[in-house]
Amino acid sequence: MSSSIPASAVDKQPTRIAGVPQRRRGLARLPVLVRRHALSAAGLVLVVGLVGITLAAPLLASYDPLAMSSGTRFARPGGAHLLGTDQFGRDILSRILYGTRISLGVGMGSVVLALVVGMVLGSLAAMREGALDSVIMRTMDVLFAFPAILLALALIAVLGSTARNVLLAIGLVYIPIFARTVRAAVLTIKYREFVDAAWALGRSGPSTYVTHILPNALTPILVQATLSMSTAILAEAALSFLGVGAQPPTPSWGGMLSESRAFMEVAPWTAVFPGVAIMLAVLSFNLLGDGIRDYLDPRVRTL
Amino acid sequence: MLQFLMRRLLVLIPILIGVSILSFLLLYLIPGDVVDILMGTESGDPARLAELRRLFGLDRPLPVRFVEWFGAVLHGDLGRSFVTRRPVATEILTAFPVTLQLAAASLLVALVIGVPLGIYAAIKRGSVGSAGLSVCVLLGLSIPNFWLGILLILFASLYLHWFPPQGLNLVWHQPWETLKQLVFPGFALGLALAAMVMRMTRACVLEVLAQDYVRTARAKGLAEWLVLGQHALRNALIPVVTLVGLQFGYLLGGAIVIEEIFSLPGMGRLVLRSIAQRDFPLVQGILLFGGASVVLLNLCVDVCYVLLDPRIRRR
Repeated sequence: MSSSIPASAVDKQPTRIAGVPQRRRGLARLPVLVRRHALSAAGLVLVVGLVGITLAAPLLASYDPLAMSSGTRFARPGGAHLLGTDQFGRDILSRILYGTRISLGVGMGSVVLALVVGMVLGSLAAMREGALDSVIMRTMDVLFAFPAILLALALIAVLGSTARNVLLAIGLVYIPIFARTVRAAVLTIKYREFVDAAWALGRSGPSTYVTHILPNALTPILVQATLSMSTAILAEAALSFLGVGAQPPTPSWGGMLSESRAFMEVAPWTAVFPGVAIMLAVLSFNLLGDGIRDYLDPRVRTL
Repeated sequence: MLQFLMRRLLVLIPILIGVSILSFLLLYLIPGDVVDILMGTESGDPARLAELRRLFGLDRPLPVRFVEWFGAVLHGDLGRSFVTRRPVATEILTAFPVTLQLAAASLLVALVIGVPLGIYAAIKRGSVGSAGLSVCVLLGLSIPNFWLGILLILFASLYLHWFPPQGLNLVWHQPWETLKQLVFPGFALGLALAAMVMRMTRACVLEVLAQDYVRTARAKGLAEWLVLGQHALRNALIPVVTLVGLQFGYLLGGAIVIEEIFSLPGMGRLVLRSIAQRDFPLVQGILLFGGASVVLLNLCVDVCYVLLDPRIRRR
């Protein structure tokens, strides 16, 4: 303990912010630098790669993800089928590659939906304050009270099990997160002096909001959006796993995991690889989100 | 304290009413109505359908029906299941202890793993071990709990020749058996929470270690473990309590998937069954119960927070 935080260092930096490691010198900084920037960069590369796979899945996959072949059922990984085949002889790698479409598509769609609606509601609440603020935010509290998966499940039960409804359900469930983030961000900017100056110059509310408040409030919103991508991907996978997402034979990671349960003792690879795909996708958005936060706002570093 | 409690309760009431309204409205988002679902594909004669609709009160305006339904809910009557014909409240109260046990097991896993590692990462900040733990946190947050559950079952069945038994005992009936059965599901559900707890513990301990009173404690020559134990940790762990309490909703949601994997007869299985059978009163009841219990638990967390941190009480 005393070796890692010498008392003298504490004295030199009395206003040091908690969570920000002290500046080290020379080689001693290497672990810190590598950890911070390499991971963020890896996150960015992975996210770009995932988007690329989503767009180029037909080019990358060597097999039709739906093509069944009774001769190659449960082929082991390696050889012609790099990640093996499933109970219908379908190539797992191709199915995983096509699965990014559902995962990223639903994830991104629901986050965009929640972001847009949350931004409108959060901004209105923060700009108007008063009664409108109370009504909007209490409604958000109500939505936020339900366990996310439970509310999404109930909505899908009513709307029907399709990938589109999963997108709508996750999006709706995530609205309060963005409404709160946006409201808090706008409120911290709204009373700053440069905004007062804009008011004093006779700018209208909407114009001040667009040119002065929103651009300064974007950092936490962007970070929230990136981190929400990872939880949205997890939620979509969980819902597909439970059988209420994209319906078979459409390849989705959660659905593949669900199907694999009946055969995993004889073909463990059917249960392992789709999970790796989910984990990598979630991890890359987590890394990117943390990276953006560190880059744009070093004060709130968490790791 | 009493005043604080009253104020919090007053804020809760509109939220609880909102939770009820939303749960109530769920049934009216369904294409068609309850009678259509009950009758299924068979086309009864219109007179009988109208009779049934009147019986269910479907001919009266929505607000009137909500008030009646809400009045019944306040008396603990959540209606009856379409399928089993048993009261929804009974169904929920039978399943809830199982879910509660799973949530408690996960919480225990999260605290046992998360708190010590978080403290370690804070006091060894900048070291290789701490950096490694940071990566572990990210991995822990990224592993889907249902995949972890599947891998655990796969591992157990291949190497330990153990299969998740159907059903779950209650801990107060057969403590040892139940605990053994909860190890894997508790770990699967608790790992992500452990990562969150660790991250939070680390941040809080770091913040407290930078405080003046910690410096004072060091300056007066207190042993480092006493500085930590007597001064730092007691304050640092308060926000961790809050975090853990507020994750109850996450645990309840996660339990849906984990119960399905490990064949535990809790709320998760109940909601999945009711959705598959289009048993909407049950879905509605579970939604209401889930939302309301999260709201009430958040109140408990607030109260704990005030009890633990006298600074808030004085405000």
